[in-house]
Amino acid sequence: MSVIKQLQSKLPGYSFADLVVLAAAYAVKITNGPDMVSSVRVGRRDATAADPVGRMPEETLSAAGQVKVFAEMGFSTTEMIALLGSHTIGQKGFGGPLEFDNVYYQSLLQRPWEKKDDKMASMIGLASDRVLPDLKETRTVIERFAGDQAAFFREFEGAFVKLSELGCD
Amino acid sequence: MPLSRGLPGGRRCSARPPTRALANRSTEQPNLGGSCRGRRADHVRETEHVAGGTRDPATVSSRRSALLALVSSAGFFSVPAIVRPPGALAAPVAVTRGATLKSLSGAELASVLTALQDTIPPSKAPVMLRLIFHDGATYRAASKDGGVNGSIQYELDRPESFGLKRALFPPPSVSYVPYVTYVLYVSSTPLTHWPLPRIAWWLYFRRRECHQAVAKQAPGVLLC
Repeated sequence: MSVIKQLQSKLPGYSFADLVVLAAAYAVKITNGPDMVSSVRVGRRDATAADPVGRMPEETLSAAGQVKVFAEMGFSTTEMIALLGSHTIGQKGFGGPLEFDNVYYQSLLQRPWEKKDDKMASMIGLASDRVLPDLKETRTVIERFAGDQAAFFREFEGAFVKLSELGCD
Repeated sequence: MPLSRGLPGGRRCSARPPTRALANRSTEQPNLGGSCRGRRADHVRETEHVAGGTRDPATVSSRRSALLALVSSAGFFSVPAIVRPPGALAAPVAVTRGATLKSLSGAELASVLTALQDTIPPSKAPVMLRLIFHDGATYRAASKDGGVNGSIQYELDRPESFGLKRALFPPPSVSYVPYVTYVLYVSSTPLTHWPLPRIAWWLYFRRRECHQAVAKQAPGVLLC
């Protein structure tokens, strides 16, 4: 049984989609990111089949390519860069794996994967992360978040709530 | 006419030929380990047989044919159709239109947080955050489809979901230690030490002693 189904057995009144949202908000909260568990809304209806294929942004996309795909979902460049800050947690090498902070943006600017002598540093980030500062409009946002964690948290919260309500019109 | 769930006998069937979406669902659904998924796929196949007329009516039980006759009569569903939840029997589409979103009340928030704490260890935080993006990033503003609709549970076998499935399905919490211990115990103990043979041996010897005692005191008395 999946983690979400386990949640559903404890919270039977919520849809699978609602619990995906609450679990994600909780994940950010317990890794010291912004607390959004009380700011997300519930009441989503579950689809009974898969969504169309080929819609996830691919890892091989350029910065401009990513901006285009996120715009198709309705996200601005700032919202996209804020959402991609999620990669600060997990095994991608941007600071502590369970620490939601702005180290992601600082690393994108420092480009540690270019260090020839450091095997570990060469593993940091996905291809799609590394190309993000290539574009002026994305780089400006990255620089802002790298120097201002509070701004990152603020923008992330807005973008996350927007993401959580995609398709719920 | 679409026909409802939960017919007597615990079987579900539909008098309507399967829609394309339904057929897709049966092929696209990954095996999530739950038995109900397999059953649902069977139900779709079964419906196809009935709809295509490949099933011999004689093999269908009389109860079932009676039910089918009953539900195919026109007025049967006119009343339940009113009380049916809207969209419950609509062709499945991966759209979540008509959702009314609301904020959590204080009490709801407390119970939600308790359940989250009990279910999600900190180590799962990254995959939980990844999950909402994989569920929601299928949204397209132009076609207004996709989005955070829980459809990710049907998309776990897609290449972009690599790693999500394994992270979402924790290894069983059942410990195999007791079984291993039992197997080791049984295989390392002589047959005569197992509980059942021991009782059998005990009964055999008791009976023999009893026979011998009787034979001594009353020769000629036959015991079975």
